[in-house]
Amino acid sequence: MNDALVQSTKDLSNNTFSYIGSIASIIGFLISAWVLFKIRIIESHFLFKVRFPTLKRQVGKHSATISRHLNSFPDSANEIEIELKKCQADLKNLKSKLNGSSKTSVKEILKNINKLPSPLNEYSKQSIREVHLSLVLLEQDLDNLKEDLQWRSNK
Amino acid sequence: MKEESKFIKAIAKLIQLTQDGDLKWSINKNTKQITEGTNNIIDVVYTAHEENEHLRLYEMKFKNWLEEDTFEWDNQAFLEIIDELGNAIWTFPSNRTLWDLLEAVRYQTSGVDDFINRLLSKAKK
Repeated sequence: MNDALVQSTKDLSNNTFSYIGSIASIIGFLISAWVLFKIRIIESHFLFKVRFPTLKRQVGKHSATISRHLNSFPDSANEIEIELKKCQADLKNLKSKLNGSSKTSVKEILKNINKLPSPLNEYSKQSIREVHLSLVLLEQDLDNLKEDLQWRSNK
Repeated sequence: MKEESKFIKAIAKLIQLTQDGDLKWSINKNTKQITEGTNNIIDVVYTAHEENEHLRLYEMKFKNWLEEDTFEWDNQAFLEIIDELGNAIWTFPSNRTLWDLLEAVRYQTSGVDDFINRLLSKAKK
């Protein structure tokens, strides 16, 4: 009788420990997942902070180069096409780092660049101008975003 | 439409009109009116007439004082609406697009396009 009582007490405490162990493992897993998730957020935030000024500068550079080449369009059609290709690569990179309305603007510009014929012809001038204007407006948008970021990090 | 976007669109329109030759700019070397009493430098001023308004565009170099005795030269592009006497009535907010406009105006007033075409046609002969 006594042995049976001892055995059942042992079983009970073993079950309790195993139950506590299982709960602890689940909690541990959830904490690890949460930490991993947070690290990813911090990593992407850090990457954004490091790459953002360069990408913003690149957008300005592309829009300035396109505008300069528009002075001698259609003679400069080739140069504009090359600049648009470089611009596409930077915009794709930027798109993955943005959210909200800025991301929508980048998508829209990429769509408009894709619509342009290759090679560019004299009828493309107005569409190139629209891409130039969108890039300038995007740059302004990114300037505002930069100020928001600075304000947030000073808070 | 946000106010800043409105100004950018207006400047982009001026760039388009300039590049298409629908807005003609003239060179004015008399810059004293703007720089008088300052150490600022303006090499050349460009003026144009659009929608009953006189426009003035220029690049101004100015000293940016870092400390009491140290400075570096900085520059900024200005676009103004002026009256008939050349007084600035209104200045467009500073924006990088003004440099694109300045580039288009310099290209137009320098006549570089004609020069290159003449030069290339001469080379073919």
